[in-house]
Amino acid sequence: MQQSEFVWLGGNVKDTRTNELLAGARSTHVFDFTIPYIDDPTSSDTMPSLHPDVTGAAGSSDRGGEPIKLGMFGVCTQATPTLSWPGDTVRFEPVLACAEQQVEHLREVEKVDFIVGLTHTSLPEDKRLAEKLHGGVVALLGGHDHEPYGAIHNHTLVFKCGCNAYWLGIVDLHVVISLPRSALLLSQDGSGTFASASSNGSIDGDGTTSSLSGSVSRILQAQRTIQIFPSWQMVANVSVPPDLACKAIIDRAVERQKEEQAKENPHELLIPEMPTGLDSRTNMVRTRSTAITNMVADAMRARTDSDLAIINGGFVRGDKLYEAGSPLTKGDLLYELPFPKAVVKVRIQGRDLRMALEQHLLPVPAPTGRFPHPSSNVRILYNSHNEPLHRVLSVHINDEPLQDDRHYLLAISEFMFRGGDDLLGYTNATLLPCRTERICYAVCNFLASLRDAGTPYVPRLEHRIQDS
Amino acid sequence: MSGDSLVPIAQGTIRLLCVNDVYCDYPINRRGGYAELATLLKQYRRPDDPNTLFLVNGDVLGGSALAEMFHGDWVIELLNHLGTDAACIGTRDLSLALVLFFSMRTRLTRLVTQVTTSSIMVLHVCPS
Repeated sequence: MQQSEFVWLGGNVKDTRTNELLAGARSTHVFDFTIPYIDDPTSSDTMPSLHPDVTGAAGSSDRGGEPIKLGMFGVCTQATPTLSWPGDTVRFEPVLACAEQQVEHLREVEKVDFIVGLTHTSLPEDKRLAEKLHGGVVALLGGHDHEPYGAIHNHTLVFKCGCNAYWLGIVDLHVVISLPRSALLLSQDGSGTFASASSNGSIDGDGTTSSLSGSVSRILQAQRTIQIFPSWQMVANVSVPPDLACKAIIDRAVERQKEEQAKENPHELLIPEMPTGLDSRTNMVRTRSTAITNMVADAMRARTDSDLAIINGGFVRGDKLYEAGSPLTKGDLLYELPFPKAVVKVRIQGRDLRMALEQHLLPVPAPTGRFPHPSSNVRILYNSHNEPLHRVLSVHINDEPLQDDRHYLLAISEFMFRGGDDLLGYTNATLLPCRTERICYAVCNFLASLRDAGTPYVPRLEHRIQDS
Repeated sequence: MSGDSLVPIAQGTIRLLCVNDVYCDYPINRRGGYAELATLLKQYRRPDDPNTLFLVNGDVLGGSALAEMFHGDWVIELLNHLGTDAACIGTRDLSLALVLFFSMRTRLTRLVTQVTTSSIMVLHVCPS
């Protein structure tokens, strides 16, 4: 097992057994930087350019620099237990309260000069955090959302750089440290260099500039003003040549993966030739009906002999296009469906199913991992502009309207059955005995059985669920 | 200008490079990929300037077939290689991987198995 050589931040992630931070994680960390002194700060009253040197640190590095402390904290969305499966030994405390405590700690105990937060929370949570912290944090650098984003909210930069390393995010914090003119003149000797101070606070004149970052700073730090001007960009990671050392690490992992998958016959042809191709791109499976999610739902329904099946778009992970005419192999499905979750068969009342569908559609029209994909015998019409929980306009199963009082046999993932993605409508359902099968293998076996029967599955882009 | 006016004495740039939610290890249609990201990092890291951090904002240890298969172990090696300075825990990082990873760091190595309702084996960590 590899050892991390860097800091993991997660101040609101607690171990339920110890009630302390998850072992190995920290709530905060302090980074020390040195900001280069300006050659002769009193030679001009004008503010120096913020972009004197785009390739390196600004200022004159041979004159030493002013120390500055960056305090960093990290938080992870409290919704994690409904989005993933961290286990019962991990608890996620409220993000806002935790962040406030960490910011106070960094300010009052660590005495940092400025603060940056690493957040794995949704964009609305990031914005709320920026409002709650009243500009006390220079930047919130986030994840969780998969769309790139960068904007100032309440004097705080909220920045996320998409997903899948499609972009490298770059945030430049331009730092200007100033002193009152009176304090500055007092601390300079006749040669124009900075004076240093002894530990008792008196100022002597040895003229060494580097010592300013030591004892003089302790006197003057109380008077210094630090201004931080962020700028940001995202560099597209497109057609970039690979770093070979890094590629070697990935290649080794892929070789190990091949060895593991070799036991599972990854080259097995499940669909010899797909007439329409497949599209598993993240933004597609999280916003609309797609052929690949349709296929997964069809397999789940068939393997459990259920009335219908529903799978969430976030279960398909490949983010890939398969051209029309290409084959589909078992290896493709192992790649697309990596989560080790089983299909379950439940008995659910119509009104609970309707409520679950409303919960699926709560985030729309925004892309969402909970976007529902039903089996071929289901048609769902919704209106994304309606009020939340009033978006489902009609549900037809085998061409008949969904009946609230009727019970249905439904195939879903065990993740959904447990209320994952906040799909609480499914938690009222009753679990029924069925073949225990990981969803990935359920799809493989479904496709293999059709292939062996001489009627290979044909993925279809049917608009099983549509926004009116 | 008054005697109390502010005079800049130092100025410079702190560069924060970041990435988040990586589920694809290789480029897809020539986009993305860790090894390609490494090339960009070299380009934008500003050699000889210590005022640069590389930050990872969660969801890197799980969520892809390759990461899930090895519980993110190789991703840690890769992030070490990339010179990562700090990472935020993400929703997918605790799907076994990080719990196990953290347990190794703290010598909590006694593992038990738990069988879920669907008989999928899930590892959890117990204190030693």
